[in-house]
Amino acid sequence: MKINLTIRLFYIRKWLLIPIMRTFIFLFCTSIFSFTPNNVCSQNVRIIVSEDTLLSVNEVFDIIDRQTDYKFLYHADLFKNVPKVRLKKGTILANRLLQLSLASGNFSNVLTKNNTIVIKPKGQQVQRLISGTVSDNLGVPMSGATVIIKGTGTGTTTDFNGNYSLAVPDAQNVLIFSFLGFANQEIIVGNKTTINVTLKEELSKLDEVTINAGYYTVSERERTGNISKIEAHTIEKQPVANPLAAMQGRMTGVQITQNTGVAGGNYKVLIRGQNSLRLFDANANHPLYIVDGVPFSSSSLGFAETSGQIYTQGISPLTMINPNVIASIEVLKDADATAIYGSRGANGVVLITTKKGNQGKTTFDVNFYSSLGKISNTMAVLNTEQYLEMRHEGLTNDGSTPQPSDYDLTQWDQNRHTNWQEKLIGGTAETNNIQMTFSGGDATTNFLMSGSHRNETSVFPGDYKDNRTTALLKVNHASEDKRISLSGSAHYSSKNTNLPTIDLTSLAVTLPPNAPELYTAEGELNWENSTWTNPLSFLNRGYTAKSNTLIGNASFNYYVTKSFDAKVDVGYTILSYKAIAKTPKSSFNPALEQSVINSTYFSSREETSWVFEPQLHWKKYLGKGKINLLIGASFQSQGSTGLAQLGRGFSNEHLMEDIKSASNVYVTSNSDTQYRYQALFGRFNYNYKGTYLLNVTGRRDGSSRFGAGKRWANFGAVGAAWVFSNEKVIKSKWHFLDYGKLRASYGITGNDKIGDYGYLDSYTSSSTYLGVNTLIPARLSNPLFAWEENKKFELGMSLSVCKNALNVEANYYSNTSSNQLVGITLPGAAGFTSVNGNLPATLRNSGYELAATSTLINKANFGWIASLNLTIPQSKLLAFPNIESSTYDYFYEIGKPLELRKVYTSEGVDPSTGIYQFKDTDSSGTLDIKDRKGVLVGQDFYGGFSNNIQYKGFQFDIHVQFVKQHGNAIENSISSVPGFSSNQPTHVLNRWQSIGEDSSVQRFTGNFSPAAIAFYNWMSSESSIVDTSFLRFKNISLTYTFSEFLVQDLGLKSAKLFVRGTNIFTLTSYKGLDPETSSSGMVLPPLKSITTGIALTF
Amino acid sequence: MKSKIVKKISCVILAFVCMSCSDFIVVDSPKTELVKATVFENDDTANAAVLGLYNQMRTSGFASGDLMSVSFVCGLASDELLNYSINPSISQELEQFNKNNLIAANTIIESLWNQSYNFVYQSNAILEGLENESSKVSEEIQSQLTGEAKFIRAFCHFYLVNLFGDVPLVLTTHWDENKKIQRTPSEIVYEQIITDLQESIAILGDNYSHSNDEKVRINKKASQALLARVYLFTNNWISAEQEATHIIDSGIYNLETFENSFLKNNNEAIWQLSSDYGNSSEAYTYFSSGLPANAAFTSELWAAFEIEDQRKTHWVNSSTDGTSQYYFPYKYKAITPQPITEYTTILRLAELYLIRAEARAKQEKLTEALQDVNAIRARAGLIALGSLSKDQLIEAILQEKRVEFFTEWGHRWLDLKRRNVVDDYMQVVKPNSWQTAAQLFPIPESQLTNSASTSNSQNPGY
Repeated sequence: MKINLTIRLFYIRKWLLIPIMRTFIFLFCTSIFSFTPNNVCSQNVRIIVSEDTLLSVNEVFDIIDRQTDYKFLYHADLFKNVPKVRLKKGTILANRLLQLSLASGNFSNVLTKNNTIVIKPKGQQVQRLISGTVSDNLGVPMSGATVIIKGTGTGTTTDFNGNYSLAVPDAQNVLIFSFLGFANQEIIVGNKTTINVTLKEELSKLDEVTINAGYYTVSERERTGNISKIEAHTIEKQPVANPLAAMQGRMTGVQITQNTGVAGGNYKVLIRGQNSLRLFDANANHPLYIVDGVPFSSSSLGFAETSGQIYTQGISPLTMINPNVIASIEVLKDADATAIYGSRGANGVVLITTKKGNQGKTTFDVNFYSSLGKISNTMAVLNTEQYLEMRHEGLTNDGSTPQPSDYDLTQWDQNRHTNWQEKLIGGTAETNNIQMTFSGGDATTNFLMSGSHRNETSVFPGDYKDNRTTALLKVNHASEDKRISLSGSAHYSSKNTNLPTIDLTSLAVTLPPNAPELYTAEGELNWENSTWTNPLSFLNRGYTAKSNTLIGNASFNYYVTKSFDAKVDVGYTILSYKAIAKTPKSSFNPALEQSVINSTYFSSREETSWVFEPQLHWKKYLGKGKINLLIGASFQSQGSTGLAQLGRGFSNEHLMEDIKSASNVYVTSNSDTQYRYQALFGRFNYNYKGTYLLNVTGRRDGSSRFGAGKRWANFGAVGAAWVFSNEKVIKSKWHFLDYGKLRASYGITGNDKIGDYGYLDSYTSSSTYLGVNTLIPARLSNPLFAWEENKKFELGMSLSVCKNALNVEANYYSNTSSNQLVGITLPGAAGFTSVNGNLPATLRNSGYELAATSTLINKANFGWIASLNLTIPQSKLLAFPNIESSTYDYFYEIGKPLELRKVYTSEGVDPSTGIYQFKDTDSSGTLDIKDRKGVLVGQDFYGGFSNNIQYKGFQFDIHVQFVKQHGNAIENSISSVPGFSSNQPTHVLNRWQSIGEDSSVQRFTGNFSPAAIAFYNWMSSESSIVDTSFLRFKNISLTYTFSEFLVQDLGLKSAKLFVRGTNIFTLTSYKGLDPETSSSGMVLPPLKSITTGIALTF
Repeated sequence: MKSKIVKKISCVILAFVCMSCSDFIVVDSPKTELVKATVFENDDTANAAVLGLYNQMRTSGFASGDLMSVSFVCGLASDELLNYSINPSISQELEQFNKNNLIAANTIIESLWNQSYNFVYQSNAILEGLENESSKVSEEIQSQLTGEAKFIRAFCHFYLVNLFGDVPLVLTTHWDENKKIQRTPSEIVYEQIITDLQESIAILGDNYSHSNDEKVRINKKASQALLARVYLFTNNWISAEQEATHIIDSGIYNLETFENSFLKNNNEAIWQLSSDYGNSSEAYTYFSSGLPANAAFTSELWAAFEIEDQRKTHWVNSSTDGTSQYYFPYKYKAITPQPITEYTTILRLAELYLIRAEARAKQEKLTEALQDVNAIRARAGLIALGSLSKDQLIEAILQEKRVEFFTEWGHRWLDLKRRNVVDDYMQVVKPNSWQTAAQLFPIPESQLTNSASTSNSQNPGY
């Protein structure tokens, strides 16, 4: 039977569509069969007949068609032999006219939805009209779904609202419902007239992986942006205190460097390189951290006054987050993924999502582990004999003799030897960590409650502890019809530290080996007649810090219709930090007793922020495509207060933590800043057949950090992906290919990471003079600076072959940042050393990323997954007008990478003088800045290699991190001239000793001789740049899971035993303590630790 | 139904847009800050800005008397002190001063430079604030504050030009211009110093009523005292004598007993820096009970005192490690922070006698010059000098200044350089390490690297 289709265009009202899209027109098709009787038109629809006339039935229907909303559907030849109809001038009811026209024949007519009247000859087989709605598992109607009567090829597609109707000849017929990307469903018609169908998505492995992209989620298969992810099972296997540590070496494009081995120390995090030229601001290149939807501070906790010497690079705020409650960490990297975060996405976005409760039976998990850690490496330094030889030789070389102030030669025992590294940093750090988690729920509500306590001691001599207690509460609820859903979580964390005030590592390496005893025979600190500062005196200076963090968020979601929902996210964070650093009299040489008094720094900082984000989300299946639309706004406010006070003159050391016991109290710093931030953002996503994907995001941002007129800016990105493995041609030819996707994205993000109020010319209070509170200028102001721009481009390809045995993702990225927002460093003569401003510089970070995961063995009892990730970053300063007249000439060169040090060209040791020589490049006769050239000091490539092997109950994981890089030589960390009264690494023994000798190390010198100056120049020469590459067995873990039978009797659901090793072994040619922390100077290296533990589920 | 939803959506979108236009992101100026224009809208806050400058000067470094102060490092650089510091973070840098082998990256050099220019900036900011049309500061206070700011600008430039040679002369707060400023020839810097001081003298009063009768703010006499010194340094003998006479004859100041001469607000002091925190740092800097804490006298300085010199007993202390005797300055005695008895003294009357003596000697007024030197010697319990030739007298004045002003404000270092005898003396004390070029400190590396206009102009020898 031939089907006559009436096609109608549906114009959605313009004023609704403008904010959505201008050019999209929706089409839908219907086809109808019918049989029921008369009176199909509404009772009072009338037709106007302009003159008496004689018309064919076809012509009559044309008139009705023109004058009403009704359409007709019939076989073209149906009225061939039907007599004409006579009409009189006037009006006539449409129904009446219809009856008249069809009176002569044996016809049946029926009105279907859409006002279509179907006419057919009577007496044919009785057909039944089946109608219904096709929707997805969330109840969103699917337009364009196909409904076919099995075995006939006859069928229809659903309309805009997912509705269909179809005439079915027989109750025995089977309807097939299908939609691309969804599993087909077959239903027998039977005596039903309404068949509503819910199609289930056809899930491949890639689809099961849901990626959190911040304001929306996307499947791994269909993502257009670059997002890396690690999940709980990876994080849990690492006994680390900081989530950043768990990410190290596991993601492409994410470079994480540990600054120090001191518990709580900071990390340097660069996502796809350094975008900003800010030289001395550690925060400038930090990514944006979002914990459960709430922006989390990236700026260091702590205060210079109280924690400055032990945490030279600050305290990591993320140390407040318990890694074991994290369900996943996603890192957004390219423009497509980050542009929805607009002004703050330039450095990438790190999304941390905490675990949520499971449905089903309530479970109780206990996890306990305990580790022992030591410094991962010690340095070979001179022994007393070698040291004294160096000292004497140095003085002799200078033609001088030991002076009374050369205590190591004139006052101290010449035969003593102490291994200071063992004494001062050779201890064992113990860590105990216990975590308990309750989780449970049903179809509508689930909850999770988790508490943990961690306590870590240090390798320093003495009783130091770093304790952390955390609690997480999470509740999710959805109404039965899923229309309303609510979720809320609170993560609380409290940390107590009482570390010494300084990191003793530098002293441990540089103290002369014959330095005096630490204690006198009476057990008092030994000051050896005031000839040294006893290192343990620093341990008498207590530093205690208490930090508390609360991250709370609530989310409310309401489905207005099945395809349209409104959501409100509200978040609140509070970070507080209180520290006390005591300098008691007893920590000084008693000889100075008269002149020192007990003093204590009290500092406190509090950062509170809230965020309010209303969002609207609309989802639509159209034809073979799917549209996702998101529009939202973000309001954020962050307040920060800080107060540091110095109390002096405590009468007793026991009262030193009581500020009111001080005879004088001075406020040394006080700050109160406000940061406000507002944005309007949107996303349009079009997914055609799961094969062609388009993602458009945009954001308009305003930030209070800029002066009037500079506050607002627009950011946006376009991402597109083509899942070419869905193409028939490829499917039929390349059977081995399970999945293949090409992606590209381009967009602009920004950066406003610069101090608050930089535009404001103002004064701030200082301490008193003449009893009057004084005012000093707060900063150099510049009202003109504005947003930094970062243009990101990316090309990527994902492949999955041989039944997902090998998954590969390769990307190329190129980010160009311009309008550099920096604290422009100024010469001292300007009065201040920096001012906020925009630099005209343009720089590019590009690179290649490769991640591959291979399932080598996949059997029930034996599995082996290996994965590798590799990043090859490159950076280049593209343009910098007038760099030579700027303060940056000293650090950068146009056309060269950013990781540059300008250094002298070494010409080795002069055999006749024994002193380092350097090339006077410009032949000016003096060695100055003009003689320096840029040499690369950054990372050439980095990555990680992991193996997860499972055999029966055993799970073995090994993770290797590797970095190929250049950095500063150990001499730059020691920063003392060989021959001076500071110990040196043993390789200085290769020094020049006599005229004519060829040597790599210059002669020793005991004074500020030309040789000493040459050594300082050497520290600024190419010789001081060495290979600091390393390959580190970062994490090795062996877990045994007891079989269910064994543990059932004990009332357990599961039981696991594990042994883990961290930083077990490092391969490097670097001569210092640790290649990773070498850029931080002489700091405690990351600890090597062995952990054992047990995990039980009840 | 559908149109209802549509309406709802549009309402929400509209609401977003409206909110976007709001002033949500405009924040008030922080509660801890005062906008510059407001500062100079009233007497009290303008006054507080000037006090802020004094307060910053005494806090640390430059004028504080601590290890990073002009007094200490010039003592090391000249023939006064030997470095004994064991403070690991600073001893090697101090050693560079002591061996006259500085490197441009020395952080003490950098901090002296940056601090001085920060004070210059603050002075300029105050001057600009007071000159601004919106300033509502009363006329009397405006003169007072302007005079003080001009003095401090001159004072900082004076030390900069003496320690570093030609230095950028900075007279505005515009960082965009100041970053490009070149090293200005010393003569021009001196001209500006003189102009600033003269203007300050013209508008300042003679008493200390503006500082609660404490000598911790600049008055006319302090300006004249510095101007007398500047004239001496620029070989303007007549004016130097005149300015010195203004002060000596004013009757406001008298030479004090040794016990009192560094006490707060003593009769000899012309300008001191007070501290609400505790005693000044000098006593603590040198204090020692065994081996020297940070520095001790060179044998040459110890030998420079005549046997009867009272200053040797009152202003010098000693300690011993059992075998050797170490001498250290004991002008300031208060090593405990409280109670506050001593202030850092920057200008005191004795200097004016010696300035005038030298100025007079240069003008061949030998008898009068001798009287001035003998006034200082008399207090020291030394016999009056008899008649001397002009050169002998000038030599005697230098000697007198050496033992009167040791470890104070780099007098010795500046005098040796000014009189071109630095090589003669330094070769005696440091035969191995002294080089003529070392008489100027290097321009700090950060200044050179951060300013294209000075990058090529390091002092010779560095």
